[in-house]
Amino acid sequence: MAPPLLEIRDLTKRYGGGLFRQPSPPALENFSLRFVEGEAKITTIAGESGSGKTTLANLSLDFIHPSSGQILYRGQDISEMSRRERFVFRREVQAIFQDPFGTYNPFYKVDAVFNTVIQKFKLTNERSERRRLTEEAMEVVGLRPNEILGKYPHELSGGQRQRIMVARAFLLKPRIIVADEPVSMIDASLQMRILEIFRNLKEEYGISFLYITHDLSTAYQISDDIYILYGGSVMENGDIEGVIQNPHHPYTQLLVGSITLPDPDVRWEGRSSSAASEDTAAINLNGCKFYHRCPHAMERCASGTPQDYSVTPSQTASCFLFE
Amino acid sequence: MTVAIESAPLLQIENLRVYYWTQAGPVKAVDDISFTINPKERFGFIGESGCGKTTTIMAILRLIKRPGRIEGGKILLKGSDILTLSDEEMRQSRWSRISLIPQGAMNSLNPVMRVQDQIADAIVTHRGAVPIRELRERIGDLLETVQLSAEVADMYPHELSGGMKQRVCIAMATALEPELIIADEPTSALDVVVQKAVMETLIGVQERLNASMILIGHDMGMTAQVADRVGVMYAGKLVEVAGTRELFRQPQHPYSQALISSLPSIREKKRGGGIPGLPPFLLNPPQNCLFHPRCPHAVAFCQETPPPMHRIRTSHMAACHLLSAPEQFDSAGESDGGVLGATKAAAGAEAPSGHQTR
Repeated sequence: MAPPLLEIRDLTKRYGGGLFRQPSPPALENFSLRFVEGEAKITTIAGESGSGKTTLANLSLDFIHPSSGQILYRGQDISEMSRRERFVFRREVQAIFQDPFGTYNPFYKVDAVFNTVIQKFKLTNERSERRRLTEEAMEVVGLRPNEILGKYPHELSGGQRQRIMVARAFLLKPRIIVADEPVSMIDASLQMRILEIFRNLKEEYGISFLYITHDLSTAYQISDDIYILYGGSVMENGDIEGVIQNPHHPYTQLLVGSITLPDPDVRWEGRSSSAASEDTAAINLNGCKFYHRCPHAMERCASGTPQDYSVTPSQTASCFLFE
Repeated sequence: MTVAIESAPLLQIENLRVYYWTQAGPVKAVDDISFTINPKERFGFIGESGCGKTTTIMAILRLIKRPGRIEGGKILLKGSDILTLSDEEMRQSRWSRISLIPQGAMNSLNPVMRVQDQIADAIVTHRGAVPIRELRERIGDLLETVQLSAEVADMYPHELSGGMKQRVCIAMATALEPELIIADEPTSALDVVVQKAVMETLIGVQERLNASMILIGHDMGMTAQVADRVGVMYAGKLVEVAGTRELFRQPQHPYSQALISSLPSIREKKRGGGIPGLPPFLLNPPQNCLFHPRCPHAVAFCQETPPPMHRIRTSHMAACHLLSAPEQFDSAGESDGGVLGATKAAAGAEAPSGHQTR
């Protein structure tokens, strides 16, 4: 049997440390995940700031190296790849970042974005073929090439710029796209149009996505499954429908309850949480990470680390309530 | 307070126009908008970025900077036009009568001043010297109303989390008990859980002061939860005003319909969200109805005649010919629909799902 496309095994990342300094608490701890060839899916990694979601993105793109654990791409550890293997990895795993303004060089026309990747990955040497590939990629994301090519980044809107980034990634026929908060700087009315493109790329081209976000509403719209991170650990994981509509872990419940619905008849659940429950830095390092903010905290949560317990056939929660 | 004063609007905006003068001509960032805000009311503005929401509130504060200029209209605060105040009178009114919680307010704190000194600054500047004990007591009370402990007074901004800094900003903005609090994206830089708590604090303070509030937020879910009435802005025009429930349940303007149906929600999964096309370039905007190039219902009449504000009910108004001149759409269905329909198809247009206008 062929190895999975991407397999993340017990990944842990601690920043800092060194010969004489204590390493800092883990930014990501014992994280595992798997993408299988032929079963394209959109997986959401959700959490607040400091939950480790961007660390995971950077690790899976091989921008930073894990403290322990492994990331295997087509069965090969990405930190031990040969030049040739790395070239394939770099092409097949693409990234889309948060800021559609910062990813461009303001002095170059947007065409440069496409020309650079075509050159670097030696897709073609021919001018006409280059143009064809670029136009094809732009059409997939719903942009009209003659309106966009030849322009400078400042002449385009945030939504257009972000779609160009999706087109750039698509150009390389990737297997996986890691999208770190791709729509958080885009107008609410345009977010769904970008995310719709993700869904099309999954369904028509079999591209999987690691969708990293703090926004559960958009995650619910497009993803197949979800991991809820808190303080670097997975609190709840499973099928998107189950986790959002029937959250089990107290942290997921807090997150889902904080979502504002664009419906004035549905009130926010509960009244003001105490200031303690909003201190995102209050992470318990000895036991359950969520202990300090948890309304159901028990004595054993302070020092014992809960395992992932199955709460439904397609959902696990890391909480002693479900042991 | 007598009943008569109570029922008069706190803020009345009449035909306000704010233009930015560029070398290529005027950009009509706010073009002839009128609305009122009642005492104790929370009024929300929604619309895509660049549609004039922030310009409108900056005009209310008279903080429009060159090349922008208030070209006309009236801004009546309790009946008197603040556009006629001298600069010094206006300076006195800001903070004490109208206060602002700006976008990214938490980054507006001075990093080298303790929290209490910054709050004291606002009080002393407007109220003159206050005995130190009284001042400390006042600051303690203010921090308590925003659910911060008294120790925060002695801290520097870098010692506080984002949510705490935002609470300090709320304390500062309400220190002088203003009649109108303007909050421009007050929670957009915060985590979801914190957003909710900070918003609840802000509402609590606003209710305690009996102040009115203008809320701008790109999080329309937040607006739906918080505002009493909502105004929808598009390309510098106010296109619809209604009670929050009515607006989100039965939006009448095609733009409001598209905007509201484009929102991601955890209640239902949608396909094909978003509004086709882009907001117009305001140096060279479309003629008359500014939304017609993106509107699924547009007919030639929309290009020829500006849509008047049409009153659907006492509390619900929208500027669309579908409401004020429905006969234009019955006859135009065959002949004009073809031409405009073709241009819209090229722009990748699609009818907004959900709400039916007629």
